[in-house]
Amino acid sequence: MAATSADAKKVTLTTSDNADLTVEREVAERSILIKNLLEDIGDNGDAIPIPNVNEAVMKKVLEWCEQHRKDPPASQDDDADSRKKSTDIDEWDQKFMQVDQEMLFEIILAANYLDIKALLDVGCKTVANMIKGKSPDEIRKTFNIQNDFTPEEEDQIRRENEWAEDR
Amino acid sequence: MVPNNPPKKGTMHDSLWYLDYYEGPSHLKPPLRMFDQLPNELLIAIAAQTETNHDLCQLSLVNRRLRNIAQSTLMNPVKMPHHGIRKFVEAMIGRLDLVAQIKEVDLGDFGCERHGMQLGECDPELLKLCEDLVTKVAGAEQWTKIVLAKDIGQDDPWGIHSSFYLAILSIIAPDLKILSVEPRPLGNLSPDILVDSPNQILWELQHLSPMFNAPLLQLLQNRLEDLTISTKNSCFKGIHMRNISFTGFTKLKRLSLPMQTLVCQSVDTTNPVAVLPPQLESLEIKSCNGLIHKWISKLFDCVGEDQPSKIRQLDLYFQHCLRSSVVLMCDGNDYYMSGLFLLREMASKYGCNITAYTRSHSSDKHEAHELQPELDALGLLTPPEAWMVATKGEQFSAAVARSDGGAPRARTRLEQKLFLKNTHVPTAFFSSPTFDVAAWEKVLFFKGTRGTKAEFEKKKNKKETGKGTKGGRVGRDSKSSPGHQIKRRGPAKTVEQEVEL
Repeated sequence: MAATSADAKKVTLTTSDNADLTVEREVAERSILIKNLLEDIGDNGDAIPIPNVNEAVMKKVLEWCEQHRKDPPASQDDDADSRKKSTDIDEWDQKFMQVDQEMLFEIILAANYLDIKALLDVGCKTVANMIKGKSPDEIRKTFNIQNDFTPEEEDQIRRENEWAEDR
Repeated sequence: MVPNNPPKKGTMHDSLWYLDYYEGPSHLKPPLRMFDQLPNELLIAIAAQTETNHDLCQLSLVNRRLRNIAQSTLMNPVKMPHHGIRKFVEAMIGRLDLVAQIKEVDLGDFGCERHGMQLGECDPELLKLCEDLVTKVAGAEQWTKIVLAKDIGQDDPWGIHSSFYLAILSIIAPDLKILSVEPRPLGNLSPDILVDSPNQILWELQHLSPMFNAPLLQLLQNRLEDLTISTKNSCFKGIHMRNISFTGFTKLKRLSLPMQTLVCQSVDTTNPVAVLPPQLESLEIKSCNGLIHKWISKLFDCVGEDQPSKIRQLDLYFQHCLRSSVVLMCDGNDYYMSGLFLLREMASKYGCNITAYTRSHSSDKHEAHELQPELDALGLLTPPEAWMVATKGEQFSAAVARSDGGAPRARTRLEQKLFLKNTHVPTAFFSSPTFDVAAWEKVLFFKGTRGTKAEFEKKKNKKETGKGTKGGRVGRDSKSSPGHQIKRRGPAKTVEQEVEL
């Protein structure tokens, strides 16, 4: 197949379930992993294997990349672990994240693997919003988590956290 | 099925009742152990996105794994609640592993008068625990110092008890590098008293002083890299802020403070050399007003006199829109404006970038702007133009005339003349694609050149005898419909028509 200039800007990604997805290079390069890969190996037209992400999730991730293709790249000095002040999610992203929990966690895992900082943030914010204002029991129920504390441990944690509760 | 009448709030014991109540849509059903499968780094990223301490406290009670993550996140940064520092130190004595993770502490607002009182005296049991710990970590001498400061401290800029606990915290948290703190108001007086005080008294109270008491300063000034003098939770202090000196903070790279800590009540500025730490790279000044340019001028004066300055980034926060902020910075005064231009040159000479953060009236969010294009533009605008820009709610840089290359330029005399003479002409004229200043200037209709002017006046007078006091333009328009035609045509045409008339 003759490579026209339009084709040259496309890349093919092979997902874990062996599906080939062809997208514009600019869209795929929202993923730092793919961007670095393309820079390292050069764009020789070969499909790029993405063994950790399946087709359904990859499609969803690419949908996000497409929407945010023009966003400025994330600043490097952002400290990923530091607590942010805002849990604002823009409207499109909010709608985008209205998926079942399994998909939500898959997106977070994929964003982490593909190194898409902004998408990871949106995913984490969405989960954080699900935690917001809930009691420990409600959190367990929401995410189906087992309680492994003894009552004594719970008391101790409450004592340790007492200082933080006013703000 | 979805129930039509969900249980009322008062009788509802479980806010997730719907999970038991009906076969919900799939997104409400928890997946199997999904949360447990996430690696720690992602759980940390999620915890970091929670807004309040409360949510993290709840999260820490979910299970053992989340406890570690949530409690670590509580330390990064520590967001101290009101009066929380004693309880915090008390709790941390038993969790030195957590304290070791602390890099950043936001001490919140301890500026209010009652704060120190509510903290109260340290009970003997806690005092003993603290003594043992501090002696073990830093030696008995250090303990004597901070206890002494607690016992004799009168005019402690940050409250005696708060300083005491912060000293202990800084001893047991060796990695503490970033601090956000709010000093108490002038003379430790309550804002009510300050507001009623005569200026003379305020001026006397306001003198350059260090941030903390001596032992605490000693503990902090050789390690802090980032210091924020916050005002965000503040009860009103406004102009009643201390002037603080930071010279002792030898490692401080970033400093954020409200402008009022840099200027005195007596409308004078502090000496930047006596205020700024030597290694400072980034300075953020909040709530700037008209005095700010004076201080910055002084800063660059100091730099000019070969005082060491490593400041590379200067962020100025204004409460106004960009245009108002620019005017505010130069008081709308030519003299100050030239000072600002000088300042800009100095800034580029010393490789310092100045960014203005301004906000529009409708939003609370500050947006970053380069100050330079606005200053450039303002310098080139005539006063009436500046007025016009302001009334239209535009920015100066949007209104300034530009050469073909896009560089801002002053309007030519001709342009200005047209602008001033024809304020009564609808702007539609000027949006004409054929608009050419030189051609239009010759048009009698627009009170063109000197020669045609006299003729025009004559005509006008003639019409006025018949038409009353109305201006020539209106008279002519009403006389014939070609008048309207002229409006929409290019200047060359107009000249012809003028001749015909």
